[in-house]
Amino acid sequence: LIYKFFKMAIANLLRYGTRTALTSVGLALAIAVVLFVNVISLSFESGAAQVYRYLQMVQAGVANVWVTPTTGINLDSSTGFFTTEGGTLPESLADQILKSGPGIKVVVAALPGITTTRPVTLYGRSDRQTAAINQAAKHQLNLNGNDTQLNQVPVQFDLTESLPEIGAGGLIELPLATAQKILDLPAVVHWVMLKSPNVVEFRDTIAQQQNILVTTDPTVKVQTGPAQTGQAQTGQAQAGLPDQRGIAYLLRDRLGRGDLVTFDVKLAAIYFNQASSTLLGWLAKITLGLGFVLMLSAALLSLEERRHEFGILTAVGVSSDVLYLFLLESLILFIGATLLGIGIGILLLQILVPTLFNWSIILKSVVLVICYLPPMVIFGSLIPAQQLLRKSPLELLRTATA
Amino acid sequence: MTEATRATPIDQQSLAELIPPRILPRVLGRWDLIVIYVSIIFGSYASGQMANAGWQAIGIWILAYLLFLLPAGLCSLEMGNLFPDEGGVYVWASKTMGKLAGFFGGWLSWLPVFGAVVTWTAIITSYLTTATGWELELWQQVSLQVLIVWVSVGIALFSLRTAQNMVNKLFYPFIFFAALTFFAGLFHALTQGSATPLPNSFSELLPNLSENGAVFALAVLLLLGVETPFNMGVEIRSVRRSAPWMVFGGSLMLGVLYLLTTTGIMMATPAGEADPYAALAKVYGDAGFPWLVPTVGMIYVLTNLGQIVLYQYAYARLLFVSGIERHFPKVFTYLDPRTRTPVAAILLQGAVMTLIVLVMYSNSNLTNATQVMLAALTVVWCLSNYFFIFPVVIARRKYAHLYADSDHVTWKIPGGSFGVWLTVIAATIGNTVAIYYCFMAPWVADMAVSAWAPQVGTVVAVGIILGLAIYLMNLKNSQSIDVEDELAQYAVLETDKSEAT
Repeated sequence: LIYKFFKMAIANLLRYGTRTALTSVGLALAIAVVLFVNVISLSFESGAAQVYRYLQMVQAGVANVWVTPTTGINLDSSTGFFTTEGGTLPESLADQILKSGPGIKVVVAALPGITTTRPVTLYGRSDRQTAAINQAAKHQLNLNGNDTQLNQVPVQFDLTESLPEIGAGGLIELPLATAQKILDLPAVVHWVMLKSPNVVEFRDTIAQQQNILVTTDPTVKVQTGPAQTGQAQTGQAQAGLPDQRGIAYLLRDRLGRGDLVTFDVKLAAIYFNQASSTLLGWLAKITLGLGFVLMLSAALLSLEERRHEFGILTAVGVSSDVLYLFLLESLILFIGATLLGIGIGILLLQILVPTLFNWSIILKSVVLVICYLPPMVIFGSLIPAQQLLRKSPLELLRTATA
Repeated sequence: MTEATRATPIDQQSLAELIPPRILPRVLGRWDLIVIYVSIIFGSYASGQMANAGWQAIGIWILAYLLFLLPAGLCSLEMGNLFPDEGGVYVWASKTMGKLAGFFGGWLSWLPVFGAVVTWTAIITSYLTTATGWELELWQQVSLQVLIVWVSVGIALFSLRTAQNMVNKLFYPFIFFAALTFFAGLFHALTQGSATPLPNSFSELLPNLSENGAVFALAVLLLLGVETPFNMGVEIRSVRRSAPWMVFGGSLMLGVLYLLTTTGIMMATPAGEADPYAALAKVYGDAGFPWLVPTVGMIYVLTNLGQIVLYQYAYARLLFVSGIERHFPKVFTYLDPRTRTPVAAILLQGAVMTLIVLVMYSNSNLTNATQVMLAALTVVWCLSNYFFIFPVVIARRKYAHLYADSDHVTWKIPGGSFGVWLTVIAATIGNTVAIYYCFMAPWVADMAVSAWAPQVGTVVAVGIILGLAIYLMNLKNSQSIDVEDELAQYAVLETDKSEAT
């Protein structure tokens, strides 16, 4: 039966060949635009995710707490690295957390941030007294493989082996003192990442003692002053006290029932949506909507022209199967348009933004684009089917003859 | 004459009562109903979340059980016995409170399926990562959740008997490992002491709602769904014989399972540290059997999938019945002639669920957006409960003649009027308190009530307004139905009842 319907669906699509082709191309262009925007958004998200994972793995192994100033964390688009905006962690607090927290195993140390003179972020780690910069920063600072200072310290990313996208080529590690000298960076602790063997204890004791807001939500930032946004998960910070000293993001923990997904998925969603919520992102969504409307109007037009056929089908009692016919036609059309759209999208990427051309990100974007397919196929077949059902078989046959 | 058509003289029956018994086979037996009842209600994430409240969770469970599950179960049982029709709450509210109430009963009961299934897909990914150790990236998380939705839709499109067989098979390992949780915790308590210090006095078990109102609301949420099996009323071989087993046996099983799993988790994992979604697998690691975690995690992936499948086909029946009465477009009455499955209704659910997943991850503040949506859908679900709680009182008066016929009403809430009022008042209190705390106790810790309550209220209001708009848009269609014409259209699908039953 499926084969029979498949043959019927193909025959119907071919019968109106020009219209089918035009509809497919229209839809394919819409899908290409969505793919294009998704790749840009995912590049943004991927950059954030990579740096975040780098921080976790290099700096803290399996860090489960990230203590930042009250302004929280931001992804600096010029460097592709996380920063703290407008503040650093109070030195005394960082020191207390790193050295004296009960039950806390310190893994991470200082982290100098962006300098005002050079847009470079540098991540330092105390245990090896080294720091890392990315390739973009390396180029900006005219550092290269022949640099004597770099050659003195071979790249050593023992913990990044499982992250090929970062890899030894993606980041450069050099002695902290050398890095500070080259970059002229002040030795200021911007945040600390650490591993606490007992997150609940951290939450209940250290956070309260030090007046730190504890959260698993990367969007939480605390404004000092009477009007507060971040309210407390620890009793201490409930009033959003002006002297609140920091935010502790729990990376490997979930609080209560609020956390369906992990911290890094939430973090990635922020940066993905920042990019996809731009004008370009909205245009892509509108284009996809237009593509769907185009496809739907073609289906409804074809319905009008096929009244006689549907009249006979319903008259002989197979109206229940007509839905499958619509579903198959819609599915074939969408699959064809999606494949074409992906091809066009890849071509556009290669021509327009070759720097973002990355097969891994394209694959991820394709998967996300395919997620839109089932709802479009379903709505694209249910709406014509509903139109058909509004008429009786007799009415269909009569109007078709007329 | 079938159970369903006995309720009212034929000329007073609605299409929702007349058509489904003619076209849907009766395939669900007593055990199927118990499996459906327990699977719809039991959340594999429930015990972990409750265990995080400490030993007071036990008292809260018992309070929610007595104040909500039992009275709500008794109300639905009586209504199911009186009107054993397809669409459950839709028909019950229509028959007792009128068409508008019937539509809203069905609509508010149907909406939460989206929140439930989307949450469940995230829970499955949680068990999957627990079992495999994978760390999912954003695109993997989104696409995996969408994939789970469509796998569940695909299975739900099989015949009810086939899909139910699969759900039944998954029920056994689910029950086994859920019960084993207690023994894992007990082992930990005996060898290393209880991870959550055992209560020193009975008073530590007593619920304190002023402190733990949100936990009570959670407990009610975790007990919602008592009326859902009745959505498939005419597909049950004998509602009157099987439903009491389902409500009493199922409720007992639920109570035991929830208490065993919550206690087991607390004995192995300190209160406050239990994973809110995958605790039932992680507990084995805490108890000293880490080698069991991957296996149990994968088993819960499958059992949760079975539960989603159940949600898909049980709730699609509401849309199907509303479509028959033209409160929704007729396309949702599409029934596969071979499997007798409401194909269009199930597909629509899958499409909307996919869109919800995509929209959810399109929100920068993922946590808040998700939790506001879930809290609002819990409120909506609780509101729908009134449409089978209040009808009991109305039905006792309006359909006194049916109650007088012992062949027709074989079970009713004991204790006469006093018993009915006591049950209805208890269920109303439990339900209302849960709604109150959904608004007044934010599910997201870093949101104040002043920000939380309006957002939840807005989503609830949008749900109600959307329902009203759909009702009004289809009002003309639903009032101009020609019953004879409709019956003729469905004649081609009529089943051979002697064979089907």
